[in-house]
Amino acid sequence: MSGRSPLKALLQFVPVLYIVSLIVFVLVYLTGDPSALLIPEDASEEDRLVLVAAWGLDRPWYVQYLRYMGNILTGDFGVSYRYGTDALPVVLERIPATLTLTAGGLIVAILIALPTGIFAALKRNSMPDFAISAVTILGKAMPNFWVGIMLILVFGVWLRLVPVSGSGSFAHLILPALTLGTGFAAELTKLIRSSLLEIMGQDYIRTARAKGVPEIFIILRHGLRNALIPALTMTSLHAIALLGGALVTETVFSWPGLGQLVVQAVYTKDMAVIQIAVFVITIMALTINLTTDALYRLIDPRLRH
Amino acid sequence: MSLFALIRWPVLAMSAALIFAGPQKIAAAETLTIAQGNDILSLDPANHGNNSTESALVNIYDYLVNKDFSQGQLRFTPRLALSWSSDDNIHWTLKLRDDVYWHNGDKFTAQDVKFTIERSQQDKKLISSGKFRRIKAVEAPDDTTLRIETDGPDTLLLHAFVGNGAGILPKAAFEKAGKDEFFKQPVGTGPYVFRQWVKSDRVVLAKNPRWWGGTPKWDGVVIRSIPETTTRVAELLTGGVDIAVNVPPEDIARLNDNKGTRAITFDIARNLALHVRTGKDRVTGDPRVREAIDLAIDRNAIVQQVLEGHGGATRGFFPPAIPGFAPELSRDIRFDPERAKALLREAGYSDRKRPAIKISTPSGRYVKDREIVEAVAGYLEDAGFRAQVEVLDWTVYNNKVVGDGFGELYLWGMGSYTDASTLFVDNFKRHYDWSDESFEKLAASVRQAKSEADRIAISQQGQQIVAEQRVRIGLLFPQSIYGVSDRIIYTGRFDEMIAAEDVSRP
Repeated sequence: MSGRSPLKALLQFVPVLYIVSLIVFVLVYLTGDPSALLIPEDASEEDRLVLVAAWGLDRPWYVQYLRYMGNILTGDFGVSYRYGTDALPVVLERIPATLTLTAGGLIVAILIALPTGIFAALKRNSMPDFAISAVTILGKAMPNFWVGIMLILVFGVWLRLVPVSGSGSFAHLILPALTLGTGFAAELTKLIRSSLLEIMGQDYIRTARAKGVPEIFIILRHGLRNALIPALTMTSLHAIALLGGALVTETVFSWPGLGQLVVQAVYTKDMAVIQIAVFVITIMALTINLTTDALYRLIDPRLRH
Repeated sequence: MSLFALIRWPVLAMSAALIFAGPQKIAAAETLTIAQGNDILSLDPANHGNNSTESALVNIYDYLVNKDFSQGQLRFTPRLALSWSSDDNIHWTLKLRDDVYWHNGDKFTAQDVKFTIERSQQDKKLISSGKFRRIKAVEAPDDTTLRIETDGPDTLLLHAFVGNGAGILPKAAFEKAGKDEFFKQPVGTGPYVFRQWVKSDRVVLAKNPRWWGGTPKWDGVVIRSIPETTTRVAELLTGGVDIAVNVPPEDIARLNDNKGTRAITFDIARNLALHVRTGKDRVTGDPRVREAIDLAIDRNAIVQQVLEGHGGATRGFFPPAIPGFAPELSRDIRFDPERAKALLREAGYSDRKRPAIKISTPSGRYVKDREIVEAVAGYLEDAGFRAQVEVLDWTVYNNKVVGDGFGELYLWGMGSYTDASTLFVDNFKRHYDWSDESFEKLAASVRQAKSEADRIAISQQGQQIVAEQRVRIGLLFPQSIYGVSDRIIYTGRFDEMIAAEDVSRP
C-alpha cells in the first residue's frame, strides 16, 4: 500500500469503478422496478404501467444496461426516480454534511483516545488502566442508537445545552459527533495502549532511557510516533466507513448526510442516486487511502524510500 | 507529527461545510415549526406521490377547490375556483378568482390552470401524470373562466383538483425558467413563499404579503424532517418544534404530563385490512375458512389494547367521512370464535389437522402494524389455525404486493383517498385470485355513474360484496396522534395535510 504511486492508484480505480457500476446495476435490476414505491396510494395499476413505460423500465435488461452505461460514459448519471431531478446534485449536496460529521466524529475519537491510550499504557496494570479498559469495553458495547438517544435526553431535553437535532451550526454537530466519536474512541484507546506498550519494550526505547532521555519525551518522540501507524490505519478505515454514511447517527439526529440518502435510495431502487453515491463514496475512500499513504510516509521516514 | 497537523484538515473541512450548509433563519417567535417523519421529495406538485411532501406543498401552491372534512363529510369549498357547474357531468364550467397573484407578482389566470392540467397529461414521466386522465379538453375563454370536457360522465372531477398533483403552477414563470430552474425557486399562489430546502433537514417558507386570502398567520414556516420518533418528541418537549407528527400511543401521557405540550388524536383517511389470497390451492380458497378468519378476530380488543383506544373497529374499508362509506360494515362487527371453530370443522379441519395461514406485515409503515398482525395471529391460533407471521422490510413488502408474492393474508393500509370508488382501482383477479360477476359489473359502471348518489350506491354495494366474500377483511380505522405545543391551537386534519393557516396562536 505504502509503496504505491498516486497515479497508479488512480488508474487502478477505473476497473474498480466499472465493476462497482455493474454490480449496482445487476442488484438494483434484480430487485424490480421502483414504480410501486413511488406512485400515490390511490393511483391505479394502469397509472403505474404508464410510468414504467415512460421511464423505460419495461425494456429488456440489456437495453436498460446499455442506456445506463452510455449515460455514465457521457457523464450523465440520469434522473433520480425519487426526487424527479438530476441525480448528481442530489448526492453532491450531501457531501458537506457527511464530511462534517465524519470529521467531527474522528476528532472526538482522537481527542479522547490519544491521551487516554497513552495514560493507560503509562499506568499499565494499575487501577486506572483497568478502569479505562472497562469503560472502553462499555463504550464499544453500547449501540450508537442508544448512545444518541441518551445524549439527546440528557444534554438536549434535561440540561437543554445543545439542540436536539438538525444541522446548520456548530452546536448541532456536538451530539452526533459525540455519538460517533465515543464508540470509535473506545476501539482506538485500546489500540493506542497496546501499540504503545509493544513499542515501549523495544531496544531503541531502552537505549533512549539508558541515555537519560526524560520518559515523557521518549513516549511522545519515539513511542507514540511508531505506535501511531496502526492507529492511523484503523482511523482511515473507520473514516471510510463513516463517509459511506453513518446511518444510525444521521437518523437519530436528522443529520442530512449520505447515509440516509443512500438507504432511502436503496429502499426506492433509485438507480441513479445509488450509482453516484457508490462512485462518490469509492472516490472518497481512494482519497483517504492516498492520504493515509502520505501520512505513513510522513510518520515513518523509512517508507519514503 | 503534531496532533494539530493530524486534525488540521478535518477541522478546516468541517468549518467550510458548516458555512456551506447553514440554513436561512426566520425570527423564532413568529415561526411555526413542524416536524414530519420524512423529508419532502420534490417541489414539483405533480412529481412526488408522497403525503409528507404534499403536506408541505399545500402551503406554497393552491388547489382549485378545498377538500373540507371539518363537518365529518367531504365537502368541496372554493379556493382558486369560486364556483363550478355542469349539467351532464361531462361539460364543466369553473369560475376562477380574479384577485390572485403569483409569488413573483404575475396575475393568476385560467391559462395557468389549463397549463397545469396539460403539462401533467403530456409528461408521462411525472408520477401524478394520470391525475387528469379523464379530462378530454380544457379551454380558457377568458382569464377567469375554465371550460373542461371529460371523456364521459365524471362525478369525480373535483376530486382530481385536490391532493397529490393538483397544485396549480404558473404558465409564464414555468415556461420562462424551464422545469429544472423553476423548481429551484418555485412560485405558487399560496399563503407562504418558498425560501429554502435543505435536503433531509428542512424546508423554509416565508409569509406571502400579497396572498389573496388575507395576511397569513405566521411570518415563516419551517418544515423539518426528523425520521426518528424519539427525536421528534424530544424536539417538541424542548420547544424546538410546534407540531410533531405520528407520535406512538405510549408517548401520549408523557406529552400531556409535560408542561407546555399535549397530544392530539384525530380521525384520518386510512384503514387497515387483511387482504386475502383466495386461489383454490390455498386454505383460504375455501369461503368457510375465510369466514372463520373474519369471525376469529376481536377487533375491538385490538383497538383498545394495541392502539390504546385510538382507532375504530370495522369490517369496512373507508371511514365515515369518505363519500361511499358503508355504515353497516362498521356496525356489524362480529367476533364469534366458537362459530369460527365450527366453520373450520365443517371445512374438514381439526386440532390435529389445523389450517396453516401465513400473515405478512411491514413493520413501522402503519401505526402499530406488526403488533396488530401479531394480535390477529394470536386470535387465529385460538380459533384453530396454525398462524405464521412474516415481518418484512417495506421495499420487499411492496415488491411482494406488485408481484403477488404473499401467502394467505397480508396487511394493507389503504389511505389518502377521497372517495370509496377507489375500491375498484384494485385488480382483484390478479392480486387475490378472485372474481365475481356482480362485482365486475359494478366496477365497469362506477366510472360512468350519472350522479353522485349513483356512484355512492355502487361503491357501497362493491364494499358489501368484498366484505361478505372476505376478499379483504377490514380490521380498523386508525387515528393519527400528533404532539403539539401549547403555544399553538391545532386539531389535526382528516387528510393529514398540515396547512400553516389551520394553525393559530391562543
